[in-house]
Amino acid sequence: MIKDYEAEKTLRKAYDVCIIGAGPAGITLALRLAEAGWRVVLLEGGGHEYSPRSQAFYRCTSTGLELYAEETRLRYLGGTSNHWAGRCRPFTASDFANAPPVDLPGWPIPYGEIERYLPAAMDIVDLPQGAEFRTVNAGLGGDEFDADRFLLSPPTRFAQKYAKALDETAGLDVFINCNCVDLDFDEAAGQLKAAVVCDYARNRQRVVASTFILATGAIENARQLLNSTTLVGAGVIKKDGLTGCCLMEHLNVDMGTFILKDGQGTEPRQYYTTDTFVSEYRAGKGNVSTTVLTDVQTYGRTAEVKHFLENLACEMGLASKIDFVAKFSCPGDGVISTMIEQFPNAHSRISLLDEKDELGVSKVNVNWALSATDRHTIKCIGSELAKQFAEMGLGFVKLNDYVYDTELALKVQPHAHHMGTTRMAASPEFGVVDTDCKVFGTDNLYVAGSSIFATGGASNPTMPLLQFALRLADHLDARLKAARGARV
Amino acid sequence: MKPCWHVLPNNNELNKINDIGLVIMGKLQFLTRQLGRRGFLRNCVLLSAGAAVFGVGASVPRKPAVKGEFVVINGWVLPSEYFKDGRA
Repeated sequence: MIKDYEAEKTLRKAYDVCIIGAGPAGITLALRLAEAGWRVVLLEGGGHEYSPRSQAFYRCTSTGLELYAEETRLRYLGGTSNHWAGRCRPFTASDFANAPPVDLPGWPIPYGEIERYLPAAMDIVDLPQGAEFRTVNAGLGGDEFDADRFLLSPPTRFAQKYAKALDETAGLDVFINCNCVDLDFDEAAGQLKAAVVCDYARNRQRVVASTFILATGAIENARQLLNSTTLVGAGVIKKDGLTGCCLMEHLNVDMGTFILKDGQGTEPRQYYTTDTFVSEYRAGKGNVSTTVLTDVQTYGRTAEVKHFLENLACEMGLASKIDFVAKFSCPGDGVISTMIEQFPNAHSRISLLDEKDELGVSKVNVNWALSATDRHTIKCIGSELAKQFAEMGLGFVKLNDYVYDTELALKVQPHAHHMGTTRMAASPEFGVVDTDCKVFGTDNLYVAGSSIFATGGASNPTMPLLQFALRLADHLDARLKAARGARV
Repeated sequence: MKPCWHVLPNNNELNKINDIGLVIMGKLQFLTRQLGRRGFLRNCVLLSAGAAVFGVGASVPRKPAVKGEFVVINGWVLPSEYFKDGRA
């Protein structure tokens, strides 16, 4: 049943599972575990709808690239799925097999660990069962870019789709307007004993459970761990450790413009780097999208440039030809945007501030930062896409200077894909959670969502994070059954 | 944690300077030495699809064929064959 914690503070004495955060991962886990017969409580800080009061708790400072950390997230039932666009592209085996070219390892598990959950995740986001991920255009030829493959979810709004299930599933308590403000860790037992929650009047209460799952998104998951004085005091979470580090996004770089050759179709096109490209250039993956802007096609300067490019072999002196190109100033027929992989780097991170919010939780600073390896990826993708565009006779590309000159400031926008702040690793030296998504150094604290991503590839994270949530639900169901069996 | 900055080595000997001063670069060479000449390079930089590869192991698959060189002028990536002396 869904209850408003402002009015009903009817928590049970103890739960099997306490899930903090009612976004796609939290809702998926809550329903799976409650349907398996466990007593589950799902805690959501916001209400049924957007409210400035709740959303204000997502406000944070920024010292790096602009992440739009408040605007891109939504703090109410259903979480950020309430404004999700719905694009779905699954991870592939190479996302898990290839280590990133940095001093941190990639995934410690094979792709097969989540591949088997793809049909169920597709069902959750309302994709047709058995549907193939499709292309919308032909490939570029060559071996560096394929046509991208994806499907579009309606998109699924989790709070609406699962409203009845959240309200009626036996064994499941859902509390909205119930804010987690602390995690109480018992160092001697190695276990989290309680999540401390409060309403907006700061009335506090302890939620007791045998298992806890943080599912509040990449920024808040790290914030909750760093904010816990008992976890930090026990040395489980180190403020200068990996918790909060390796914040990754997908990079939307304004690559430049292009001129289409006469006769080329004006439909949008999407390309995706091949595994061969990634291997050859030691670069990240990326989607590149070309979009024709119909309102500039008749622009006079574009016509002049197009005429010149169509007649490159003309009898014009070399110096004059270069001078003519050097003085091109036209908007082109369209624009090139991207969704490019960012590699993990420790400087891109969430840090705790001394200042606390109105509920007593420490605020955070976001320092979203790219590394030289990311600039390398952007340069390789831009340069090779431009060459391939010309080789295939589609037209010509004008790259923005910061694409090929990596010392210039990059113009990049985020995609609202926050990942990596509690990364999965085989050992605590390289990550925050183990291969079961359990926080290193604890016996019963788990993390769900894209904060566990060791690398982010260039796949939209919602569907993959659901695959991980389904895997975690199976793991916890088995673990809880084993514990119950041991007690009998 | 150590910062994750990896700078690929550059092999400037793979560069060629043609008669009009354009830099023809080996594949994956990203102008470490030439970046001081940014004003020039912004208008006129050559990328190439040549077969020279550095910074990757011998086991890395190569492209099966060289498809030609490209010149970058004012950001435009254009076939270099139209920008060689003796042409036009």
